Amino acid sequence: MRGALAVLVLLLACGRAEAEGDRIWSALVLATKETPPSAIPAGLERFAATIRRIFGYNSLYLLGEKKRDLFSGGEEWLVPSKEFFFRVQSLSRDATFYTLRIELYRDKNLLLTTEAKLAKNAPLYIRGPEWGSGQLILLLEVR
Amino acid sequence: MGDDSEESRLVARARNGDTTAFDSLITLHRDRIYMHAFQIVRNEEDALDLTQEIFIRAWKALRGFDGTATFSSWLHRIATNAAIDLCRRRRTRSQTEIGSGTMKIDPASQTTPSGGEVPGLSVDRAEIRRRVEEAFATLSPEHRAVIVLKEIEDLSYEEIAEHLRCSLGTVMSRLFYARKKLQGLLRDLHEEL
Amino acid sequence: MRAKNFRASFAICMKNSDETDWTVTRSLLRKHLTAPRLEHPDFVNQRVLQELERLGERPRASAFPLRWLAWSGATAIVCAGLLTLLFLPRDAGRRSDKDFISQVVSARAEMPQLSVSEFSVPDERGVVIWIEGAEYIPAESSVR
Repeated sequence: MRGALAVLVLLLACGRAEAEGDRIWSALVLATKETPPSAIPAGLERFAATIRRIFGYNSLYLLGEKKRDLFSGGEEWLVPSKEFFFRVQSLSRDATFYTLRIELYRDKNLLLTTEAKLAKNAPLYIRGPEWGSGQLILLLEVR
Repeated sequence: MGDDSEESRLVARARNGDTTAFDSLITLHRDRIYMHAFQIVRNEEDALDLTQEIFIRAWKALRGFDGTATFSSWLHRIATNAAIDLCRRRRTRSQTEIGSGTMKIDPASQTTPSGGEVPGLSVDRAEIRRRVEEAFATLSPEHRAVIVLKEIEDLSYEEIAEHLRCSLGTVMSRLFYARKKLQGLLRDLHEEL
Repeated sequence: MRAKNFRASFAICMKNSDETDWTVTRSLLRKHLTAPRLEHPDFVNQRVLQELERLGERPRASAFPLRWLAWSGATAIVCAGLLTLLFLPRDAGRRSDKDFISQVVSARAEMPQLSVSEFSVPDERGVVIWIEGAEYIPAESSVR
């Protein structure tokens, strides 16, 4: 009996450990077009090619980032900046995706509601407003 | 599947200079290409001339057809770009851009212009068509093309970007602008429907 | 709270109205931007072939005959298959995280002046939500 209990606890711990390992990362990025292009900040290299291809910008500046633990059924506020932030509810999880309900706020105003299935290391890019001579882009990724 | 392999054989023969094979390809695709060209240029004579021009361009470019896309898609892309080119040439020649706030009024027209319509008077089908055509005519060739490809022919954004050899961002911006413009010009028709 | 709820409801109504507007406009386009049938279709063939003859145009024959290409391709596939069987680990067929692409199930703009579209970026496994109509922020305003 004790042996069976020990196995059960071990299994639960393994499951929990897998969930605990997952985090949701968000960033607020300023994308610009410059000649010559600025160096891409560390941590944004993976996104640079896509941003260049889709949005047409060759330089990136990290304005803020935030990472939180992600649990199935949980809710988190991700605040990469005071001006733009997310409320993320994890609706469900399977072997490959987190199904998330994501709300994007600017200050007190709700801009966008989306339900998305995010795979690990497969980001969501959100095109925000223009700021100065560049474009604000928000990034969300399960890691 | 049988049709595809038959078409592949015709393309291969046409690439080797076989005009009989190319003749068969024209027969297979002429109706669809004509309709697509017409959707953008909105003129039967121009669309007919354009259809011929499209096939001539296709013949000349056959050596560049590598089979990564279907022959049909490749031809469709040539057609879109040829239609845009024709619209640009027409605009340069005529310089008759219809502004968003004005409409060309045909003095022989039996219908009254919408600006002067009596409230409550129903608009007949011919008038609706005329208004839709005129609104569409206010768009630039590039904006017309994205509207036709997305709203009439249901291509995806990625397919449109590949068609027009531009970025997804450009496709999105053009669609947004074109939709807003058409909505503004045709909003009063919604109440009549 | 009531004022906030009303603003939110109003924004949703305006947004829904805008979407309905486009649905109506779109149906107008699809109904009235029709194309006539091609009359005298054989005329197209005749004119094109005449023009090609006049131009003396013919596509250059390929340097690689089709039969040669087909045999080369088949040989390459067989070699690749043999090498795969010989050298690839058994569990290489199992799908890794790298095979899965994020998707947007639904996306909705919550302010009347905004519109939202979404599309995938399969090469990078990502997905884009494109917001249009957001107000420009002057450079001197803080967004951090």
